[in-house]
Amino acid sequence: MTMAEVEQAVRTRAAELLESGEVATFLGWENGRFPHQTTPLVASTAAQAEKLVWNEYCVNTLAKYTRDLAYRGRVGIVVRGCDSRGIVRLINDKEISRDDVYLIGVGCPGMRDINDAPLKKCLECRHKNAVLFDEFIGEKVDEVTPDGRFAEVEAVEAMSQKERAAYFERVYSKCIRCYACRDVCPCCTCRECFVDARREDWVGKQNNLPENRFYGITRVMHIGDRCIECGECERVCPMDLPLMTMNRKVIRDMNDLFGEFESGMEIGETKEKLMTYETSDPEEFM
Amino acid sequence: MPMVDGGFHSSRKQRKRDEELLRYRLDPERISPDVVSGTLNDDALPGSGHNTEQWPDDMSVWEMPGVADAASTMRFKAPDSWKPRIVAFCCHWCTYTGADLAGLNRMNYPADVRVLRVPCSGRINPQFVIEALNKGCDAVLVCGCHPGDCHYVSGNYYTRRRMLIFKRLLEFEGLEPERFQVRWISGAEAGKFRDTVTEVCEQIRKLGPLHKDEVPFVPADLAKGGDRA
Repeated sequence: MTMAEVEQAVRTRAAELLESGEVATFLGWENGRFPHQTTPLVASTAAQAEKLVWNEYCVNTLAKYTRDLAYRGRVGIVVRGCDSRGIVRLINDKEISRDDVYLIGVGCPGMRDINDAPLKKCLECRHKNAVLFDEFIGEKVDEVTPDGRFAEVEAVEAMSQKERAAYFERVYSKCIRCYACRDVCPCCTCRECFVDARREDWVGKQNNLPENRFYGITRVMHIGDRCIECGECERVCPMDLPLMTMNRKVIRDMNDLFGEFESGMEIGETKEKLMTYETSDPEEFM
Repeated sequence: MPMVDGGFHSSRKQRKRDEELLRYRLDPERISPDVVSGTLNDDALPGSGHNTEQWPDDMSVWEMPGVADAASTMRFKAPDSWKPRIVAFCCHWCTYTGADLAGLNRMNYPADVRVLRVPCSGRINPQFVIEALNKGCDAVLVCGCHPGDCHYVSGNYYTRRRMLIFKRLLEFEGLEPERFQVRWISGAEAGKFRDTVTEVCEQIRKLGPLHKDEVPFVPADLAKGGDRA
């Protein structure tokens, strides 16, 4: 099936689900204001479902929207690899339940931005097909695992300690604390995020180097072993900061030290690395 | 570190303070010539006669050639009176008892380590460490019971995993490895506590202050005379 055919099938199916009342809302994308651009769409009637699109410009990962829509009833959603891993992440974090969502799986060929350049997160994608779905439309896309998953991490590690200090000093000086990375991340679902506290508990509201560094490092540690590598944080960052480099550093270290683990692949996964321990863990601190 | 290019605090007074701070930090009289990488020359300072026509108007001081690299990589010569400030998070049941025993046995060790007693090393949130480093400490020590001996059975197993990852992340972001260390020190190991503290203090004394303006900088319009320690 071509993308246009999948699009038509999705529209039909969404209209059916909405008409029959099986879902209260349907989450997908619609055409944006400019060509080669889409924007997320929440359809609540079959007529609105006609606006759904499925093309190479569906850049947003939609999983996190289900959290806001679940109160209205079941949410139908089109999911690719990254979206479905996001849904699994939300279910495992007990933000939504499996029954809150109806998943229409599709295979994703990789997305492009408004200038037709392939998105970086899609070039690095390791799971193009939905990993969790109630029904699958179209054929599964061939999974080609790209090399160089940790190439950026290694490039930074190759620098000397002082060069790395200067590099991250520049990174954190550029950060404007817009919190777009936190808003878009499927792992970042705390009811009260540590940066939103009204009283200045941990991190202040000042936009300076030590506070930015505090925010950046803490967010990476709070995500911990749960990052699904959807790459949304890097995509939405207005200052083009290398956020996935830091997340991948933690992922690589956990893989090296505690065994291979990919988060967001199955519901109820219990091998999460920072929530468990082995008495035979590597010992460096004697 | 203030945003020297304006931004939030763009009042004229703050801008003057920022320039004063920058001149203080880059003053060749004050710093040692032990420049590891990057070059610092007077051309990098604002208003120094360098040909700035090709620099865009919104270029921040830290993007000017030489400044950011030099500022991060210079070894600031701390005054001889400087002493390291090290925070040690010690677990109550083992390390704190060990430190207590070191005191009872009248062991001598440097007084630069401030001990913070926590019930278990598993209580240590990575945010404690970053907060300590941001707020003026030169190094952080996390000490707990040996794995297998935790009073709460499994606390230090979680600590071990967490700190393995966190230590690597901090070093990745450019922190010197000596500035964040984790040790297992039991209640009977008073000697190990003394040796750890002595060793860490010596390492940090050699490394110098983490915060380059260790001699506190007070802008001229706020100075009351004397150091603000």
